[in-house]
Amino acid sequence: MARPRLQQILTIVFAAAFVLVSLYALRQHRQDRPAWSALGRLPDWGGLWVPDRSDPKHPWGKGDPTWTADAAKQIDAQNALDKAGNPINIYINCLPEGMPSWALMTLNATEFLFTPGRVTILGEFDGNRLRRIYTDGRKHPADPDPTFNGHSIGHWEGGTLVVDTIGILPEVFLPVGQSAALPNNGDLHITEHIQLIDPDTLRFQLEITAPHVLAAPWKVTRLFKRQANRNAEIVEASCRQGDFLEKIDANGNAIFVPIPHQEGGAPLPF
Amino acid sequence: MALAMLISTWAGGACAHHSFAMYDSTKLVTVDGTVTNFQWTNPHVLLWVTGTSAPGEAPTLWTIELPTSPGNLGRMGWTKHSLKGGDHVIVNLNPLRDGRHGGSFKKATLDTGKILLANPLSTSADGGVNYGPDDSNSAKNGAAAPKKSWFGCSMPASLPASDASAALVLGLGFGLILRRRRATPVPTQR
Repeated sequence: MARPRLQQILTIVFAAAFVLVSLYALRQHRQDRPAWSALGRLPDWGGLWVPDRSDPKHPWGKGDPTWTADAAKQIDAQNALDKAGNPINIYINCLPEGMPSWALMTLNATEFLFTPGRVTILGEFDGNRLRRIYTDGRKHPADPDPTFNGHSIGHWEGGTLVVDTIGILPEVFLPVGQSAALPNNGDLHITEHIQLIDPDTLRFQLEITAPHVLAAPWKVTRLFKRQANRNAEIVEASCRQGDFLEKIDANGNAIFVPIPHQEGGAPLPF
Repeated sequence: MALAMLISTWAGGACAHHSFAMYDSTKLVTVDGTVTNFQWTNPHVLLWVTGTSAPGEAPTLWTIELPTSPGNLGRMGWTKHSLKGGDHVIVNLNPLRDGRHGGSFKKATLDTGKILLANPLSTSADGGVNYGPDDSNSAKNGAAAPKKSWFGCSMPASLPASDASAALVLGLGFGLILRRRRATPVPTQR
């Protein structure tokens, strides 16, 4: 008599346990799994973005830096050399351009990849570099190893990606042209607000703090336009391939031969 | 002094990206000649033309640098076959200030009448930035308010396949239990 009742109770207990364990497992599964589905709520930044180059005198965008007195003298000297046809080139040796040049100086296409907890920005310029912006809530490392693009964390405020970047090498340039720039000299801090201002225009608003060369934070805005062709692709962009001539040697091998250049970097007849 | 050291350091580096200030943008030279080579490379595409820039001049090799990359030129409609060795071209260029036979490409005219331009500073369609009709749906997919789930965490508006399969497993579990309970005769108390 008591045994069937016990069996009934045990069945109910086991069933309840099964349900609870299943619910717990499902919850753990949902918490552990990256939130791919949440990406659908982000704005559409698909396709290729090409910088707005409508103002050749301000290729870095709208907003001029306020240099310290010493820095301003150096920039003036560089601009004078450029005007005289003897430019100092800043993007040499295939070193990455880094931040903020990534946003301000590129003339080539950029694309964005959204994955859970991260935005990745790919550049066609500068040897196809990439930036990682973590949006998973992590903090900056307490003592980051300095890099060209620094350490970036971000979060979404509606359709605006807000990015905070530190840990940039002191040698990385603050550019106002391809032949006018100064190293940031350390303690560089960049905040970015990136958002669509119309369906095909993406605005980068940067505030750059560089206390060793800037007398005040540099607020600068640069626009990128979306290519209408959504199938357009970023192409491989070696930074120095054009310094070499493609030749076939005496053995029939395809080789690169250095092209002579003048001091400013222009290729010369050979 | 420090600036001079900096300048010498930079000037001694490799080429790669560079300012185009060594070309005289106030002068336009026309070279009439034959394409020797057209190299589709980054960061700047290169063109070599053997030709003359003035009547009676002996043909010489000109090294002509395009102002941008294969990526940007491709988006302007160029390909690696836009020019080829042996093509007769008339090229307009900004020459090197130092008088050597090099220049920054402005325009090429082929015997077919085809004109090739490369203006990376332009925002018009022929400058590489195509302001075509809006094909984005960014206005439509504004952030939807997340639904509160029965687990108390945020849930998407639609259930992804993995969630659906988890629910199916749960449902099957319930079904099996209920079926087993129904199949087991409940003994009557005696």
